[in-house]
Amino acid sequence: MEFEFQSHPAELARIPEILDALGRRQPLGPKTRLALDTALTEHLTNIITHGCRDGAPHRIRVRLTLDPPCVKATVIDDGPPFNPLEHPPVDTSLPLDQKPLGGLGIHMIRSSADELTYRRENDRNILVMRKRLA
Amino acid sequence: MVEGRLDGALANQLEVEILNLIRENAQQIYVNLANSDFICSAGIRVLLQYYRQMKNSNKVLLVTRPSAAIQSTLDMTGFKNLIVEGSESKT
Repeated sequence: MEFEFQSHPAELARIPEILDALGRRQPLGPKTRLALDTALTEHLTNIITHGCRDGAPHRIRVRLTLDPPCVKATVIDDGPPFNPLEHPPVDTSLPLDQKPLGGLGIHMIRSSADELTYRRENDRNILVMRKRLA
Repeated sequence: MVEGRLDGALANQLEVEILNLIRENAQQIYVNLANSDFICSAGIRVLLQYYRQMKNSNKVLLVTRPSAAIQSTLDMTGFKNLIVEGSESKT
């Protein structure tokens, strides 16, 4: 299944719809669904807010495929190179007073996916996430 | 009480509401997340930012009665201390 998103924050509200569509084909447990929702929301937010600052309209393609025992989500965008795996992990054990305000979104992408790969191909960012069906 | 997905848009709205309460000199703000089934990093950042601001002036901002999904996300990100003790979701 493939879906297209415009580079606008209002588009983020469509993520539950595409997960509903996937869920009709393959029932998703609540943990799998939450993980996909979190990872897609955070990654698309980063693309829309950081990757598309030039004001030009960009398209983001999200492909959801069943890859038993996993669901595979592939996100392709034509923004500037952006590899979330290059960012240092955040220390989640720090007390609330010392936690950094940044880096949380990327941490949430990393912790939600069971497997995450990034590549740059034909001037596009391609992030592939796999999440086990639970 | 927050209803619905605490994504970027609702996080902005929550921030406005918290700022209104702070302006009215609220001593304690409790954000009830029983009816919200999703929180993104922007939502967590708003909670953290105003938790700190309130704490620095000896006031309180905490989350109460998180839904199972919110509880799970706050656990994963290391933010379960934002939840009022005893009001955690039992899942």
